[in-house]
Amino acid sequence: MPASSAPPGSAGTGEASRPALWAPVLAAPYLALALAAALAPLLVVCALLVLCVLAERWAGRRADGARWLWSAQLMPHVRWLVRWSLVVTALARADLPAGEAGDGAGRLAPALAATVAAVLLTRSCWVLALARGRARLREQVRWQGIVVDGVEEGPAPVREPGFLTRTPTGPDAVLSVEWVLVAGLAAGVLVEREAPVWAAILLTVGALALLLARLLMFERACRSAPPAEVLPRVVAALERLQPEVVVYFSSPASGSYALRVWLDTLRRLRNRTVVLLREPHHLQTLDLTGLAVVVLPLAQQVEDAQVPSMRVALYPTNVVKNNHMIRLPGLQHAFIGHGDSDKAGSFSPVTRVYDEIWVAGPAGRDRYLAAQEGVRPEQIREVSRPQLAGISRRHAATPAPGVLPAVLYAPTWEGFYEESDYCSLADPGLQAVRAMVASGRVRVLFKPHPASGERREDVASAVDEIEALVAQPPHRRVPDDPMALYDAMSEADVLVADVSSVLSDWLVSSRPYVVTNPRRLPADELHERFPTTRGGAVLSPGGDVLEIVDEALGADRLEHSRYQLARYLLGDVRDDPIRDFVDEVAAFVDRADAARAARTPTTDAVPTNQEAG
Amino acid sequence: MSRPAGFVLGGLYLLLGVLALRGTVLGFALILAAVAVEEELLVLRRSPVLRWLGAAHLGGTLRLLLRSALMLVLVARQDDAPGGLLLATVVALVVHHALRTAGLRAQDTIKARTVWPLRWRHLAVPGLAVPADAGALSHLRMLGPHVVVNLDLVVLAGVVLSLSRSSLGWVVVASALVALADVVVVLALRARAQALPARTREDVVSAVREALETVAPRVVIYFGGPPTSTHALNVWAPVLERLDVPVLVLVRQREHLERLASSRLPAVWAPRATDVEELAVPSLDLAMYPTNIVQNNHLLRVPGILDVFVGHGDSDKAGSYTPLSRIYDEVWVAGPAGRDRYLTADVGVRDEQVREVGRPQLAEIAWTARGSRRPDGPFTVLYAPTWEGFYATYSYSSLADMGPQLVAALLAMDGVRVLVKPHPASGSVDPRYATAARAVERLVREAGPPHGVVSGLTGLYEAFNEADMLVTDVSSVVTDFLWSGKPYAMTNPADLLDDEYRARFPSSAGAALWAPDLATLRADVEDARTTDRRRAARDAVARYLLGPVGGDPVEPFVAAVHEALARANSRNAARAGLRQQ
Repeated sequence: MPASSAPPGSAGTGEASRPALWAPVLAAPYLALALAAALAPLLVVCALLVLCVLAERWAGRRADGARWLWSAQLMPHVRWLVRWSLVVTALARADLPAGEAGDGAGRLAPALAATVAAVLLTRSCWVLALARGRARLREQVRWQGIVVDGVEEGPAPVREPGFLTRTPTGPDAVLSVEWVLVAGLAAGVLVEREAPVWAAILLTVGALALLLARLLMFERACRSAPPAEVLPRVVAALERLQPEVVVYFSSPASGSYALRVWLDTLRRLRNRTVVLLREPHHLQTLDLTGLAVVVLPLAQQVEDAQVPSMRVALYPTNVVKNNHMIRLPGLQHAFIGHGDSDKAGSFSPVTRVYDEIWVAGPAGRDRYLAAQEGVRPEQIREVSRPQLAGISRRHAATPAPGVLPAVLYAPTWEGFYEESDYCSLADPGLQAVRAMVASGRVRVLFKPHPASGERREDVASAVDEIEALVAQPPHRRVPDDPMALYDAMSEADVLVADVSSVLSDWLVSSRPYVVTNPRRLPADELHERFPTTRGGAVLSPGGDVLEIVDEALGADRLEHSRYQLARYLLGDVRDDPIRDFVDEVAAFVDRADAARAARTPTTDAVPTNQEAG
Repeated sequence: MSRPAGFVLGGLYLLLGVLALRGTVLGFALILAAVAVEEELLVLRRSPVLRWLGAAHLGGTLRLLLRSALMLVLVARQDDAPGGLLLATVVALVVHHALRTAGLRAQDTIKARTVWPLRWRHLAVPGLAVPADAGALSHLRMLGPHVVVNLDLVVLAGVVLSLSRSSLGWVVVASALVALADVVVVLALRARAQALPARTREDVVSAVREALETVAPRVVIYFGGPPTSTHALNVWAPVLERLDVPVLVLVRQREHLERLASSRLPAVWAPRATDVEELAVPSLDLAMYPTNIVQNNHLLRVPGILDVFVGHGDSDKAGSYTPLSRIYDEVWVAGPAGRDRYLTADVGVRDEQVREVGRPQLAEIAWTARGSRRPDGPFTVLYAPTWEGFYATYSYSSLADMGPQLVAALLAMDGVRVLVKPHPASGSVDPRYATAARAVERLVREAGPPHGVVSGLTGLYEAFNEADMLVTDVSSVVTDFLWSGKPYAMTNPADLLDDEYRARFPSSAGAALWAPDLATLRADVEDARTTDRRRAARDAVARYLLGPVGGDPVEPFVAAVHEALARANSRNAARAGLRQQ
């Protein structure tokens, strides 16, 4: 059988899903409509069509059915074609009872058939225009906070089309014209005239014409700022700006937080800085005011935008696309990370490619060197953690009547890979929050990682349940914003968290914390593998969280080891870590300048990543 | 080619609609048959029209339903139809489509249980053996679905007969036959689907992982890139086959698995980054990367493996010394030249990262002892230009600007036999180079024997052995040929000053340089076949580029692999030691 458009995620071992139990609810009106198309009066056909549409609405809200229908190649527009073909058939029937819709069979049926075809073809135009337009927009060069041809931001964002609405909708929205058509048909039957049907068809054609015009405008808009024209102007603006520092960032939208933690620090840099983004979605997810930003989606654009003033590049994440910048000669590259933790990602072997690796304190240095993955001691610099400037340093509240101590539960996410899964949400996190909420002795502040539940379904449902539990005061869900997390850290008396950078950040506060141990590692092994856990109590699945929290708020026997650990992880206590970081960047630029001066000039061509053998 | 096919199909459907609405039975039947034939032809030809229709959400199922819908309209339009004909047609088509959907789902299940998300060669994966589809039913399963999609034609035949004979019986019989055929096909497909065990992606990946754990490879060669680039992997295949430790070939695109030129190296196609992580079994100590692609990071970030960039040809080209090379633990080069190239480029690669391992791929090239050339035969000159490259910085090819004149000049010389071998990728970026490659080949073919055109990669080394002199561009071909000890000329299509050319491209130290005017061509060929005054310079540059020449080039490489494995072991031991502390 010729394959139709593939259902989403059908590649590879996608076992066929089963139809949902409610499938008959959707199938029955269609069957009735098919029989009615052959037998029943037009008004009944109209009524059954409405029933089909209502059943569709009902089924559309159920996520479990869509996949089955997709894999059976019965997408919403295919079902739309089925029900409207049956209406056309009914209208085309020669044996319409006299009087019903006049003698409409003569011209109405072809007109309705043509309208049905026009709706589907317009939808196809929409689908194609959207695919083409998005492909163009993905390659668009953008800028913000830097003057290109007298404009501080551009190109103007392109809004995706909607059907008769300003807000973007999916192409299936056009199928809703069926309400007009069915109303016209029913009215025609009731008043026994053709005019309402013709009016409905005209209205539909008008709406389609509007939509087509909107699609054309969308196409034009997508074409309006071709990267080939914008890029030279952006490069010219960069040559005027003469940035010395490039902050290079690439991630999915859910990973924007890794740059957000740096924004306050970057705004204070003394050296001229440009933020180079590889994806436009960060412009929506981040507040980048006060920074010069360019978006360069293609590797070639990154190469073309290298201006001679650039001395150093800073990388908050270790993504594959960093290679597109690292391969450019003449710069010094530093990995600055976005949180210092014991996670496997913090000592990826790939890190050895950078000229320098900036860590918070001696712990980061030891971690890279112990990994024995080719990172050399002279590559590593301890620069503290400037983002922690805002976390207050104080002792935990002593329990007092009327004041509930605050416990911040800030788990990480489950990671892209099994190996890097340290997430406690499913177990013991959910149990612990249930116990704490039920006890009424503490207030729970809940801050999951923004990506929690992306890979594991049990994690996603744990997030949902905990969010429901903390919806009631005095408990609270902390918003998905690193700054909100730092505020919550200032407010909380005890932290419960997974192996993640949250632990080392918390150490600034000098207050007690609890480390989760979802993999039930022996405590020795946990402390040995993840030094950040050494200053905290350990909560394994089945453990009694209340007992641990009470000890932390009371005797707090771990206070001294926490202090030792903070020195080890975060370096010496600094008055203004941001200022120190600003100095570090300036010194790095000077080092890069010196390295450039020492270098013998070469006449060779610029290398690219594709060796042509 | 595809555009007309699309218009034909669209026109046929439009005509079908008009005929249905007009109620023209025989015309409709004719056009529906034409639609069915055209659709089958598109499938057989794997026409891009089908892909385009899918992208426009006008897929096969939608078009089949449209055919049936129009058939209903046609029947509805018949004034003198026997009573109940429309109802019978509706029922027949509803049943048919329901059964077709069931068949489609069974087909999907079979596909999901037999076509794996990973593929492999020369590797026994016991957990994933698929029982062969044998027996009489296998043919039914193969052809049945193609028949099923066209059974609406049988329903239509029943309709036509019922109309002409004014009897409902015909359509009823036709519908029953259609339903019966549908049921038989569905049952056959479902029997096969149920005989196959269900497996998730994770099952498949872990079965392959277990198979790899049995093989316990210590060395992995990791490769990805455009489908036409497999040659960069294949230059390593014969060398890796000679290693005495288990080797795994890990490729990121399926084409490379199919084109891998080895009859025994275990090879796996792993499309996803997570697959790579999963398949990096603990026995792996050494990873070799022939190219600098960003996908390399997916294996590079797996801890516990010594990562080595081995390249796929050693040349003066810019790509051979990118700053990205720092991402590897070590960079292996052929001789002192490779080391100097990295160090003078000053891209952050440190002296201790670079290792000289010779060029093991050159084992096939015969080292020519002095004066061993047959004095009586013709003097064979091989012209092997490179291709145009992806980027302007890489346009070293002489093919378009000099190729035809150069070959014509050689053909005009007495006692000279000409062999040509353009790079296989010539013309893939710039069509001028394709034209020039054809022109050069035509010149040689028209000249007739003993001149000739060489093709394929092994063909190049065989041609090296056949040639008495090489003419080529700045490329790894120069370095390889130096292994033979025979004279060579290099083209200078940009007409650089000789001194500047030799300074930029050290491999040219022993070469005659030919500018676009080819002024020195005749004299240089004469010198090569007689005096050979460049011999000393040539030997020196060979030692510089390739290390010691004349022995078995694979031996130093095998030794280098063993030393690297020892280094990886001691590093892993050191790591374990630090963990213990």
